[in-house]
Amino acid sequence: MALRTVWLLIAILTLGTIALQASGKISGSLGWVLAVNLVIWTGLFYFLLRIQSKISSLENPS
Amino acid sequence: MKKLMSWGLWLLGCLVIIGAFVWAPLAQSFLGQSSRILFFHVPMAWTSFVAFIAAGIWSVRYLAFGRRVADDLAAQAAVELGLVLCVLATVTGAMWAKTMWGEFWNWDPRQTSITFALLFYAAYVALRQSLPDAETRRRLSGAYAALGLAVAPFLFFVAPRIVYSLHPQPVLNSSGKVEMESRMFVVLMASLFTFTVLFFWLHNLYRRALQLFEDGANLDRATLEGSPTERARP
Repeated sequence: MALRTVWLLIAILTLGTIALQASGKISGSLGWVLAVNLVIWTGLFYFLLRIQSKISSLENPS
Repeated sequence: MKKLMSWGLWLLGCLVIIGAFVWAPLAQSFLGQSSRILFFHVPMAWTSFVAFIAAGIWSVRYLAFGRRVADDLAAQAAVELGLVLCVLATVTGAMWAKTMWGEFWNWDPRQTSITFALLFYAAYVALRQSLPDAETRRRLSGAYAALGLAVAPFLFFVAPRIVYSLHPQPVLNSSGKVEMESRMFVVLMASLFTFTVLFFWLHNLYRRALQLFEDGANLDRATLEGSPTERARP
């Protein structure tokens, strides 16, 4: 997975949270907590995918 | 298929976070937004328990069925990940206690029992580090983790119920009923599932990394962290 995809996902999630805030469905501070949580989760997920591919390449050197 | 499942986990994680902050209502008799920590604190504590039990089962497998190194490494990976989750559960619990009870630490039965669980499994790590001979290390740490099959259920489920606790009633309480708002229950169950799957994914990666180290494969920690191998060498 390219890093570009992760940035795109983070942008979508952040914009989505801002849209939720603007529509009044969540309060301002809660919106930021939500956005930070989503960004951390996406970053962790990307890191795990990278680790997985590195381990696989070390297990099967070709 | 594997990739699809990984993306499914990511999506489920996002839905859990959105559900916890937007969809689920606040619990009654909790101050402010503090009840939202439930969706992360409970799954962390639960997953650490699963990790410690899994470590015990792998240790029994190692001791009783063929002494396979892979089983010992699986137990080691489970304990170390379980410890990380247990620390996170303790920290989130202390944050919640500060909001609700006014202090980070109150020696509540649950706080005390989780401290004992942390000490018990930290001793497992210390035991492994202190034994230079691989065979002795595997045998003794295997026996210790197998002992955890009795200790962990006692510390997580029995000890906190022996004496009165200020801690909120668990999801499955003594009356055998689930006393929780339905949307909160759905988010909590989804979170429990996500954390459990995430643990087994992390465990799989960590166990394979330990196996590579064990095999003496050409693996450098620096490579795993993404920097060039040559840089780590003098």
